[in-house]
Amino acid sequence: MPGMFSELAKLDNWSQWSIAPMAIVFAGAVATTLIAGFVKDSTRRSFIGQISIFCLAIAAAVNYVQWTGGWQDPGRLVWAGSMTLDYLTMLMNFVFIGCAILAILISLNTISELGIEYGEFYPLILFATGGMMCMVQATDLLMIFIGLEVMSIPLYIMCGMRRSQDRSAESSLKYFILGALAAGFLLYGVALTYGATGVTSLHGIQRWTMENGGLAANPLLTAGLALILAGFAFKIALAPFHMWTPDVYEGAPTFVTAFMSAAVKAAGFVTLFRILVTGFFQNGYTASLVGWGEIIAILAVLTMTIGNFSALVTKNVKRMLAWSSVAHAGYAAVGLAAAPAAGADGVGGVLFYVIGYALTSFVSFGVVAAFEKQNGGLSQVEDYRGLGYSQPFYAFAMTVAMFALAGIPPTVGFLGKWYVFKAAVEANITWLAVIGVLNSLVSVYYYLRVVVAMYLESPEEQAEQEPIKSSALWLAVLISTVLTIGVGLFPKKPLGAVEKSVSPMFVKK
Amino acid sequence: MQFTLQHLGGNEYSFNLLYLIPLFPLLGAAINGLLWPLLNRITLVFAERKLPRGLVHVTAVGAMAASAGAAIIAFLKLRGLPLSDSPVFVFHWWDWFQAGGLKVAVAFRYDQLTAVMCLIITCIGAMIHVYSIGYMSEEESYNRYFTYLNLFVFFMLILVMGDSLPLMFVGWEGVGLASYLLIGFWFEDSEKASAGKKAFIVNRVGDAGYLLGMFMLFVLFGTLNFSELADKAAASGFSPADHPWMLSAALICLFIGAAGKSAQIPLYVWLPDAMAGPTPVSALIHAATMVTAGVYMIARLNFVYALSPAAMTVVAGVGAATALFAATMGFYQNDIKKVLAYSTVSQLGFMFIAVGVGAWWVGIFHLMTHAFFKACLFLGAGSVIHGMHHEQDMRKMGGLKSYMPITYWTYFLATLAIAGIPPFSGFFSKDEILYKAWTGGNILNPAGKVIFFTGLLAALCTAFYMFRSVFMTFHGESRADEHTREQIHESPRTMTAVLAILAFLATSGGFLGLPHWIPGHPANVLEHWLEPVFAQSAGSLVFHEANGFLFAVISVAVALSGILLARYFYLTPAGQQKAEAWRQDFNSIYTLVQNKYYVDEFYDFAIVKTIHAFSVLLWRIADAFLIDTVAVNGLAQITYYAGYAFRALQTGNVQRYAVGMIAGLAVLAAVLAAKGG
Amino acid sequence: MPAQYYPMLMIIALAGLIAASMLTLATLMGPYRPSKQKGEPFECGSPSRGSLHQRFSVKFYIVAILFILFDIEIVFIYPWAIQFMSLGMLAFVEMMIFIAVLVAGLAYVWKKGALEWEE
Repeated sequence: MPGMFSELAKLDNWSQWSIAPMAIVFAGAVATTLIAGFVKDSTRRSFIGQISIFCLAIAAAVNYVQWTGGWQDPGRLVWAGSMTLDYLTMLMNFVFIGCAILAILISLNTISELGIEYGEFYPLILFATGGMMCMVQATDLLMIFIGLEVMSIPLYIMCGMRRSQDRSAESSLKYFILGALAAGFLLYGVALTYGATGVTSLHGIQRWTMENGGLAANPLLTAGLALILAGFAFKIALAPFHMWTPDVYEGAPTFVTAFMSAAVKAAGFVTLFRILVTGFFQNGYTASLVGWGEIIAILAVLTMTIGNFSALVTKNVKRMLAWSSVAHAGYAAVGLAAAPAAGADGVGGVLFYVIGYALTSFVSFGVVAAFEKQNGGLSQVEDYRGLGYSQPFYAFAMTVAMFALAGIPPTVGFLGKWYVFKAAVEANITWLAVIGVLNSLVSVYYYLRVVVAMYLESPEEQAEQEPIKSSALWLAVLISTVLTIGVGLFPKKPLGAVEKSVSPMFVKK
Repeated sequence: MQFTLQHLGGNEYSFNLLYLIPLFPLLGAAINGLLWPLLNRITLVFAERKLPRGLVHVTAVGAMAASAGAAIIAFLKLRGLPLSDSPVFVFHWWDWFQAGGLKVAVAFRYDQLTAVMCLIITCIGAMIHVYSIGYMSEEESYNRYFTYLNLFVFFMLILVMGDSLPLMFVGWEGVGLASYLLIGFWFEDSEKASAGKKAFIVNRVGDAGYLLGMFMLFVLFGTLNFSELADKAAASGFSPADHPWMLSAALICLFIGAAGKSAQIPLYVWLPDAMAGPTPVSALIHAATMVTAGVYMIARLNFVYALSPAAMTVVAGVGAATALFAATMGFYQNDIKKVLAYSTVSQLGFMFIAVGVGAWWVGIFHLMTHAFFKACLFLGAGSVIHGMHHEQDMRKMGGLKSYMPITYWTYFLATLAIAGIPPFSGFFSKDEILYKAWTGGNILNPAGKVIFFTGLLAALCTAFYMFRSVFMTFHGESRADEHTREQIHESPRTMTAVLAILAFLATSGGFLGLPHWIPGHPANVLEHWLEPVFAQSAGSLVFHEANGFLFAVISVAVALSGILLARYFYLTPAGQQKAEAWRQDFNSIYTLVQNKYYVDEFYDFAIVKTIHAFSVLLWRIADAFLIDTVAVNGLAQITYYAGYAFRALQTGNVQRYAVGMIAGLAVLAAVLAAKGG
Repeated sequence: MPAQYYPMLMIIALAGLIAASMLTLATLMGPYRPSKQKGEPFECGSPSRGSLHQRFSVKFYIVAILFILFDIEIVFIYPWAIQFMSLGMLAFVEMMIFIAVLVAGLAYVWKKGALEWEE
């Protein structure tokens, strides 16, 4: 029997260890699936949620061991070059696990309020989390695609979990149809890239382009890049691939929306910049090779503007937040557009931005979830009138979220904007920063409107403003609110982690 | 805790007392806003009684007194060091964030300029807190009021003590927030709530300018820390000629920020509306401290402004235009607080003239004297309003002199100060501004002379409308109805005592900056004290010689004629008839001025027009600057319509979405191919 | 354009041409006498009724999905079985994990009643 394990280790001493957190999450997903299948009693459902949190905690602990030195030589390739374990992966694993835990906390008691009678939500969120971890860890287009699909399919299902609601079903179907189209784009892009270069690994693509004079030399590769860009632009909701976002975010159960807007967006951005920076970007002689910076800049302008202006006329808070999520993808894309010239500063800005936005998302959607009920509840901005006096805690959290989204110091939202816009100025695309600043000026209006409604207006009649009684939800909102302010005030450590994660990508080899 | 003064080398001393100055008001706000309400609830449940109201103002005033005490100790310590070494206290609290070459720390800087600002803020702030005890005594949300007021002082101190532009911006935004909360303090009244919103949004427009200016300065100098900026600006390696437009653009952008906060053309529209807030708030925020933040910022950045004559010309020019424009608008206001509001806008214009022509210390001098006399005027007006049971219309006042003697005399002294009658404080500072405008050779020719005459005219108007307000309020026959007249009373001791102190300061404050022409050449205390702060730019600035006494005679003559005119028109029957006759003859001009030149209406109108497709297009292509300024009121409207346009795309039809995606993909591929091939 | 693709292009063109010409010739040369019966969908002589779009029970889809899943299992297992000896212990453990996951899925599906046709 000892021989068996020595043989197992033959492939690569480190390959198994490198995917340990992901494997734990997937194992948890399979286990909870079985439990969900065999437990009929609906009162035991939150038990599955607790098991899921436990699994995620173990994965986080293993990830922590790896982060603090349990992994030598970060950035080396494992699993025959299709995966890696660098600080970026480890940092994102923390983010994904954190997001999943927060989403589960929000869902624990609200899930039955929404009439969702299935324990399968928890395995689904674990599968999606594992998929994200796989996607971010992968350095091969095919592996990335697998991760993306493992992430997406549970999301399609989760969006439609409120089966009694038309909007939820509509949300699921729309997301599925358009998601399939986008996956088609992506896969086609991968195929064309393979056709042009003969490889699917990102480092292989980089080597090929360096040896063969860049994108310009090969229309097939150009088309491949365009398709891959479009596929990811869909996932992170860049205009004009954003149109599903408001419909899907609004229809999905709020804890799923929070999870999508926080984790899925972060996963999409990180994978996109890994593909672009590792595969389609060469240090030293970039300008003649790469055109994606300008493309992203255009998409960023479109996305910010459409997102903000549409949010302006939206009266439903959840839908307004969905549009705001589109706008924030645009701000983050500003950093990505700056990446070819500003290097680690641009990509670091994106990373810090999406992490900060993930925190803020959980605050804002957490508060929305607290007041979302099967019948009634609060949905329009007017419904929030006077909330500052009837529910001071949630109103305060919402205020913090609105300030963070509007980019007012000392919240994390201000720093995020600061970094991406600064990267744009550094990259000599000041006009993009100017558009970004003007756009955030516009956005102040609709964020402030919620705050004004909560504190400065009184409800028309004695409206029902009772939140769902749930200490887990309360805890999730508290944690994310504290982090939103805390990271804004003391950003040194998070910034150090971000810096550590992205700087190796720009080391000349 | 030990307070240690430690020499860091050069002229810098580390002094860990500094952080206490802003900390006390923050603690006060926290206790009043969080702790007392919480305890109140607990005592209500267990003891069935409320906490005494006195706790609130004891906390707030105590916090202010402690903060003022710390500021005074720091000032005395600073004065103990030889001024010739230009000593500066610094305190590095923690590193806030770092990005690339930019390091931003939460660190304070206490030099001679900061000392002056801190003393004004904490001392006048403390007095106004005391005054508020009486003024707000009948208010329900007593603790909310003091929480906001303390919070404001905290942010204002961060603004003046911050050692870098980003930290200053935190204070800058914070005072905007506090101002917004206090203007809309009585938010049940929707007009007052929307006045708060207007102030906030107009300020945000200015903030965009501040941010852009800050980014550009960073690109130019690679740092945003004041002392590092000063070093870079002084270094021989930096020549403004290498960046012909960028430096001026950055400074003008920053000035847009200053114009928003300090209510200059074209962003002044929020300040008159801000009078919706409680009167002590108007005195503290909208007269003595926050609105002067723009002047402070330019004085703080004197070493870069001195490098760009163009930017300085813009500052001084806008200041002069505002001074005159706002003064004329004060003519026919009937609301006593509105008169003071326009007068504040106008006086701020004078301060910008001073810093615009490079006479930095004079700007700070006028800032200080203005803080004294305008706080006194506002609090006097508050006392009148309090005594008249919330009547603000001067047409219903008159003859109050005998009812409220202390209020009358303090108001009268402060009016003499603002009108520029020697030896009251306003005379010295305003006269010095006009003198410097005439003799200064630092801005583009011949702007200085034009600005001088504009300022002189504004001074005439100031004397006229201020005395008009005195005559209408306190002299003549009472025009109040019977019921009100019976109840008119002098205000409580806490209010009149503060008035007396401020009137004393308004009278004597000018002796801190005596002009050179006075026989015997007494020392100019303030100029000497501020010398180290402005030393770097002083070398490159030019001021010609002129006979200062002559200027003093001219400005006194102008002030006196303004007063006599006001007396003629508002106290003598002949003059009143004449005024009535002119009003008939020049009805259109009268209506124009009374309606504040229809600027608010113009802003609305200009926006509605731009909604038309062509205008929107032109707006985008033409000039973002114009929009930032013209679109103040209607920005919301325009963006709203754009939002509707985008919403039309959001049909909810999946096939449409898919078509959108495919079209997007096609464009994307085409652009990429064009770039690559 | 690489020259070796020319024949391919010609075949595509030829195919299109033939199809188009057949349709065109039939339209041009054939007699055209429409009637109601001819316009109906072909239904083996019996009159057509009901909507074209029929609702199928979701069970059909579930069974189809499960069939494909387990079908793919075979696609993976078959080559492994052939090369079993040379692949060794590592591949064996991996395959066991793979099968275990599938068994877990099967158990879940079974328990949920997806395999039962009748309620």
